[in-house]
Amino acid sequence: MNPIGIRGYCDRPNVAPGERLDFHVSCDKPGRYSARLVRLVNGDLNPAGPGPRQRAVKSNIDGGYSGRRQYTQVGSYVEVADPQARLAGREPFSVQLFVWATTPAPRQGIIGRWHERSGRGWLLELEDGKLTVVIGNGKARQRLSARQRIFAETWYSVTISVDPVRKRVALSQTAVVNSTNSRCGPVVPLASDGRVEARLAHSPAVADVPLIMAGYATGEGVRVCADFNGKLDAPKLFAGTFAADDEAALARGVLPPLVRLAHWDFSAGIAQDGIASADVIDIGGQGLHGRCVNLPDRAMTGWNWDGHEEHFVHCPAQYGALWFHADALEDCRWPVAFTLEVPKRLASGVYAVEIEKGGQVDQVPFFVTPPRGTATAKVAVLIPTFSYLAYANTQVLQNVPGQAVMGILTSLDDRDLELNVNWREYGLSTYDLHSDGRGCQYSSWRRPILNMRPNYRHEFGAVWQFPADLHLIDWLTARGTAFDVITDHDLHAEGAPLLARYNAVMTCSHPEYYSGAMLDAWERYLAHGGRGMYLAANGFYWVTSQHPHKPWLIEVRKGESGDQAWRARPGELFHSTTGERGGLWRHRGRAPQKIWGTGYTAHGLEISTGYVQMPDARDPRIAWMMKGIQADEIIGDFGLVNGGAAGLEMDRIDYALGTPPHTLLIACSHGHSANAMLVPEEQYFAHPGMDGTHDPAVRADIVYFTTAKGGAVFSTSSMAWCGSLAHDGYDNNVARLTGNVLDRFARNGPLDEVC
Amino acid sequence: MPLSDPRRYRDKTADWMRWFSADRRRHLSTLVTPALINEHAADPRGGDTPHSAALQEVLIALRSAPTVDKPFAYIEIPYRRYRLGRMQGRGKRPVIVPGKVYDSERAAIHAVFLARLAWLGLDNKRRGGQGL
Repeated sequence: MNPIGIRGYCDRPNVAPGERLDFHVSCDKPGRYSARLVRLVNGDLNPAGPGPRQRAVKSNIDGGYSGRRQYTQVGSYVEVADPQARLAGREPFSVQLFVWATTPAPRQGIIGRWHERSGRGWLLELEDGKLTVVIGNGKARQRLSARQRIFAETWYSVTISVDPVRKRVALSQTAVVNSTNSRCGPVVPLASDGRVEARLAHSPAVADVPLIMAGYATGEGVRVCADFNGKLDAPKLFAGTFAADDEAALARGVLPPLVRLAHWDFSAGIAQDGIASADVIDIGGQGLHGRCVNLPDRAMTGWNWDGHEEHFVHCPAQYGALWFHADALEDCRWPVAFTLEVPKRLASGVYAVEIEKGGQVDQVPFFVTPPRGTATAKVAVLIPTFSYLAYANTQVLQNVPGQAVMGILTSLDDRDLELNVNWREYGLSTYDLHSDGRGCQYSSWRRPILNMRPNYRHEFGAVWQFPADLHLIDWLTARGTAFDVITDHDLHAEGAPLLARYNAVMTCSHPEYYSGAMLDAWERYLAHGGRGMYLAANGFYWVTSQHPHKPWLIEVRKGESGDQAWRARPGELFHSTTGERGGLWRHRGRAPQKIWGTGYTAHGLEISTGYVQMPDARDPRIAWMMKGIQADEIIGDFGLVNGGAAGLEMDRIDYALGTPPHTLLIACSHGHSANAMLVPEEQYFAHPGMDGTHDPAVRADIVYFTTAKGGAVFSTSSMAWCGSLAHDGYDNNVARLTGNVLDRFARNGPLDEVC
Repeated sequence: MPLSDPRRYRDKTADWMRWFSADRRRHLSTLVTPALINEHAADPRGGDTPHSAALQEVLIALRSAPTVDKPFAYIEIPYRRYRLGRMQGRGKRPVIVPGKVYDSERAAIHAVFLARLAWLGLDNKRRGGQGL
């Protein structure tokens, strides 16, 4: 296994000429490294293809830099500054909160003002599955542990009382299980409640650190040990200690008659459009507000969720939980290594900053759009940056289900292994599970994304996403077509006016993750004379939200059907950052067929095939499209992606889901394998034969239809399509068909209506 | 008696999986013949000729086996040099098997096939391999 050695990231994926873009770099060993700007054309190392193509571009970053290993804070937590030490525990105080731990056995901090290295302060933590209070005066540490271990994924009301005056410390835990809020229900006779009390050996010394929830300050290299996995709800501190009945009342949600030093309501701030804020509001009146670090899952069902409402916006009082993960990562927060000043005359295209140290190289891709508000070509390629984010640093093939899905025996390279071994500075994708089994619902651009590199062949066994999309860039470059590059981030922000600057807009191979604003933009563009080329499959599939204040972040919640790497838990399908329902667009009335004629039907991830022509292929109204292709030709029974143009993931027509009635069905793929499977949302009763050898719905359809005002849609419905463009020196029927359509779409003036 | 200590309870699915794995291993072992191994060597992906039903059944078991210690093809130099590796779980360095080097992915994948057969006790040389 060869070490990676150097890696970097940039602040955002898209930049226009004249703008600046910050880069961040970490090296395993200190020393000098070089940086330069390159324009990317192709990256695929497959010897059967044209091979990598790039060229250096002079810029202000050319030169050498001093590098070192950067610190990455991993794990989600909440911190509260408390500069006046009102929460330090100098006077008698008590704490109550609700706890739902997913991995209770290892040591993990829950709440406290605690400094691990000096042993000062107070902390409620889990040790060997037992809730434990730790009190430190800088010289000694007193521990008081519950007698009973807590059960995983079970809500408990937990209290601690610390009285330096009467020299008492107490801890209680009370399970608060209803029919819906915990893993098991009321039929399980739990006997894990309990209360322990002891003499307080010493008062907590004031720890010179913030109050931390879901972790503790270490004072060591890892600044906060944020190892807590699970949910916390409604933490609060009181002046004084609890009376006899207070603990039972608090377990019912009733506050005791004590002054609140702080009371954090994680649901405070929920509005119609969700809760995108990192703020944690103190409703206790003291103004001790906190902030979330590394994006704990927000809008999560709380201790009192009873299942009558599934949308947190409609019942915020039952969505007071934050779900913390020890392996969450929002932003590496490395210092800026250098800033690229994008030359004002730099052509729109795909670029990367190449950093090199001691023979080890990383390339950090980004996308240069035309100058804001302009187009410099008649054709645009829409780079699916939301989908790149969703797949960022996937670690699927290291897991059993991934290998079973792909239908292959696994091949992994150094980057795959680096992601799996040194996971802390890379974070997860929306295809991965956090270490406690919860699906990863947020993904960030602000980290090294090792699987978004031009020469990376995906762990899935074929080029996928970014390097696959360079096949399209390479073909356009080879044929001399002028094109602009625009991104999902631009489309989400600008909408239809961005597309309207072009006669034709092409997708890349897999635009799977889509916001409502982006769907709106496509619909408006196509309905007003625009021409779209969907050279892809499984597009426009998962509801995706961009964080309204942090555009480098997306949120995805998977379920209730679809090709799901994980499934949102009951009551947790709505996005925290926008308040909208997650899952498939199909289940929100926006199946891809309504815009593109086809939508996701099957995946066949190990073998790709070609298309047989249907009668519409010979319709004289589209003779221009089929020029140079004989009636008996199989289209695309060749290519760099598993040997064919139809494969990986595939779409087909479905009139019930909105395929326009006047759609021409030009060709259908055939000959898929027994590993090619119908996707879950196409399955109702499960039965044998839902595979490529039996089921006629396992196929990709090439379709065409016209829209109003001279617009049109052409869809190839396969992720593998662009991998066939370069075959035989770019002279093949996939390139011919794509070129015929592109040339006609790019031409000024309306297309003839085909109805 | 009420439940007071989560450590007293374990996932009984493991009991079933032991039985199931042994049963599957007995059956799958009967499918692993020199002809089946040759079939895989000739076309590991099944891209030239669809895999036979027997090979497909064995391959599904090999892909679905647990991750830890599972053989995989390590791409040392893409399209040029491969080795066998064994995953060790998240956060742990995989073991790269020293010695044998493969000059094509096709050869490496067939070596993975053979290694997984042996690992799972399906190579008709030993019994009692890992769970399927």
